Amino acid sequence: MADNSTYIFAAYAITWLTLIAYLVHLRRTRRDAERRYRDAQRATGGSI
Amino acid sequence: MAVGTMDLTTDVAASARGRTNWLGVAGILALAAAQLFVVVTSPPDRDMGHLQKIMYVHVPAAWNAFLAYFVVAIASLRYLWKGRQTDDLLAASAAEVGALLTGLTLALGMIWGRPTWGVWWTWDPRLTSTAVLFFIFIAYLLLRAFVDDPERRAQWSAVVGLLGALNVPIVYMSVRWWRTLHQIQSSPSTVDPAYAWGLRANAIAVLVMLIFCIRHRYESARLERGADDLVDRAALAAGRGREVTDG
Repeated sequence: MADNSTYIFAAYAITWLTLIAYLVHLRRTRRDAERRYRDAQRATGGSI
Repeated sequence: MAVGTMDLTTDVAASARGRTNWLGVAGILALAAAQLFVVVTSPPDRDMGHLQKIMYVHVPAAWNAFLAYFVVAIASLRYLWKGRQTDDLLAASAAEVGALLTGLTLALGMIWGRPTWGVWWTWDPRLTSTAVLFFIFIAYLLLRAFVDDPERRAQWSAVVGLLGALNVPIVYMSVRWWRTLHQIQSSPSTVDPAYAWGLRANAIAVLVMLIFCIRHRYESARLERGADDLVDRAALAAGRGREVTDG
């Protein structure tokens, strides 16, 4: 049977790279959203 | 104020505080443990050998993409029925994660297809219908990015989200309706018992990550919408103030 370890490694590596990249994206999105909300509060005098 | 605009700002504080990071950590640990379990314990398949191990990442990604689209369908229906912004934001969050998982499913399928079928891609009904599903939700996300009016954006995306989710049963049944190259659905009932627990464990770990990602994205979306609402309300109040002064 052929050695398919490269394909197996690639599949798991892509899974983790995708997951980590998306988690970084989520974190950045949250940070930007929080900053935007704080700025809006400050500018409008709104309160939480 | 737009129809269905609710008092997001009061909810936003709670959502900002209600961090779900612990769920993400649990999901990552569960996924790492489940993958380690199958890499160490899963025996080679008679025909595919160790290549079979790709199933543990490919199939859970596909199942959880379907679950994400189920959330899109329910939230979109609820939006069209009740007009609540929170349902629109939930649908959008689930669609983003669903599209990501569908893209991953396609990529992993291609990696599996090359050594198994000898090609990276073929116009098999399962592959084609999955690609169609993927592009519908890419279109959904583009639609949301390009339509500025929140109410119109929510209505249009609810319709597209529902149509996209209707494609899920077609994707799922495609391997039975048009039997071609792709094998029938892999599930604990169709795979060898030696693979069933590994498949379950990986699917549950990805499910935890799915819940975490949708929830995290949804909380951010509510903060963004809350900021927009604050600005809109301030602008409205300033307009009224001018009217009173002018009057």
